[in-house]
Amino acid sequence: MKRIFLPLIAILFITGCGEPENKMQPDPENGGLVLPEGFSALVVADSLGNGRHITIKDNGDMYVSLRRPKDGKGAVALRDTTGDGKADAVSYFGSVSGTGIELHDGYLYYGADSMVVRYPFNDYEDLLPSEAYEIIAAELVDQNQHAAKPFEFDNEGNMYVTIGAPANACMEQMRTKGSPGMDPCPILDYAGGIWQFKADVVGQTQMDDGYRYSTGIRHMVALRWNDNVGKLYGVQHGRDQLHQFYPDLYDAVAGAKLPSEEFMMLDDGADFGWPYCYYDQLQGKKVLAPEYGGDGVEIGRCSAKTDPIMGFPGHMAPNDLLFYSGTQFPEKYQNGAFIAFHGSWNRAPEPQKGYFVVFVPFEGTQPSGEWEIFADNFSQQEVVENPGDAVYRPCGLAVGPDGSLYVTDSREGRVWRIYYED
Amino acid sequence: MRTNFLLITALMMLSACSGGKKKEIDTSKKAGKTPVIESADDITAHPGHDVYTLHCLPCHQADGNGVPGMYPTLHDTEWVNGDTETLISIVLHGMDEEIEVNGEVFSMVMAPLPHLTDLEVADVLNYVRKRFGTADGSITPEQVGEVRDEG
Repeated sequence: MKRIFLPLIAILFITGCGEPENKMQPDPENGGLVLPEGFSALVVADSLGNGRHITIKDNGDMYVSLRRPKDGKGAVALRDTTGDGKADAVSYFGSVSGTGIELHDGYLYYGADSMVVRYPFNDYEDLLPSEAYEIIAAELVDQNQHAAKPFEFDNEGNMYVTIGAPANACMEQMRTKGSPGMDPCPILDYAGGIWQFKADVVGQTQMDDGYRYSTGIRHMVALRWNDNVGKLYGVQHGRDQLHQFYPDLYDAVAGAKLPSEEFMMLDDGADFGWPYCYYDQLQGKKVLAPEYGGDGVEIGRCSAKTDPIMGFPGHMAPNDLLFYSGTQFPEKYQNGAFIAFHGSWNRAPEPQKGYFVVFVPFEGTQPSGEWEIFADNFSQQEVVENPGDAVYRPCGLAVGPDGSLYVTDSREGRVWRIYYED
Repeated sequence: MRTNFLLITALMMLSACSGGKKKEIDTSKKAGKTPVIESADDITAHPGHDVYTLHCLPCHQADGNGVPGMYPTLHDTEWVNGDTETLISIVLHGMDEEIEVNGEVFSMVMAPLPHLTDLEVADVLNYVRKRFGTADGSITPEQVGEVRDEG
């Protein structure tokens, strides 16, 4: 589907904004980003609010979700009418706020914390959709922690929604030192996984119509269908506080590095092991969590759980993932994965980590090499000691019709467009 | 390749940070938050410092500014400067409701810390109130004990 559109899009783009006097110019210092050679960035828009995810129409119109409403509106639409890459039409809309946002089948789908809705367009070429939405999936678990509802579509009429676990490690007493893990963890019945719904059926509820597609996933803000291989992927927010709760097993450095942020390939029925297990990227194996009797080495029941396809360092907070479908970037990037790491807080008192966008090369269903930092310096700090010092935090990713990579920021609401020129 | 890139990145960041931008931002963000504890020595010598580092710092961070969108700041807020009984109760019993702190809304759970002794709770709250707040006077272990007994 997306592939068929690309030539069309390219033609539209060339005819629509090929005037040389309107050619895009990178911002000074690439709008604050450090990029590989040959790449430039410009600031599309600034100060939008708490920007989360972003989706882009074939005509280049951009839609950004907002974690908290701005002037009572939960989303913002952006249009560049001059072809210089800068948004000159900025319109807030929508009465719900949240994280997930994606154009699909002529609608704009939106993930509020308790439901996924969709806005129809009177005319799909309009910048703003209708203010009245339809509810696709309602009564989604929404309990303060990990309430964000990102979602994704396959090409067979299904929608996948993250139902994050409202917990850190399913302890009897929430986030309390010494409290054991509940066994079995009752949360897994209604959260801590990916639920599947019909993409175009109005009025579904999680308990009546949702199907638990994959489980043992603490929280997954980065969720994406890979069209090349026809599979769902995501990157988990791993558990916190190994050092604070178990200082005898994990010193401050180990607690900062562990557990891994796991890059997962989500098959129907897969169980990744939260809260019983976590992946240790230093040992290269899934081990038993200390709340369930683990000592940092013992595997136990975790041998039956699904391993990630890659293990990133801990706490970096992967907030979006995409598989690069454009042809603008050099060949090495094509079909590879970009991941936005929002940046850690649970590495303190060690320095924080993340606050960058990484690239992972892919071949078929699996990574074909090591991950590398692609876009850096979002924090504008040499070292981030406290998350509050980070000026920007990368959160959402999208590929535009010409193959540019767009990145949103959750602090100031900046949107960058990263592009490649020979 | 990776090493070169990192090196270049590090160099660029170093040179970028020697300019005015970082300092400007730091100053504006921390304006008006002058701690009553004056020096680094004062901070580490306070009996509440170690309790803070072990139990509070993971979420509220070393600088007390919290995590944007997740954990609130401890600087200059009525929660810290205001009613001591409420403050003691939050530490002992935790908090699981949406609150507003200095205009920002937070909904993450605050873990209860009932395993801290009355003295540890008093020490850490006096430390927080002196370092990040403007409150006079001090909280005694006896006050903590009374709130604990009330349940």
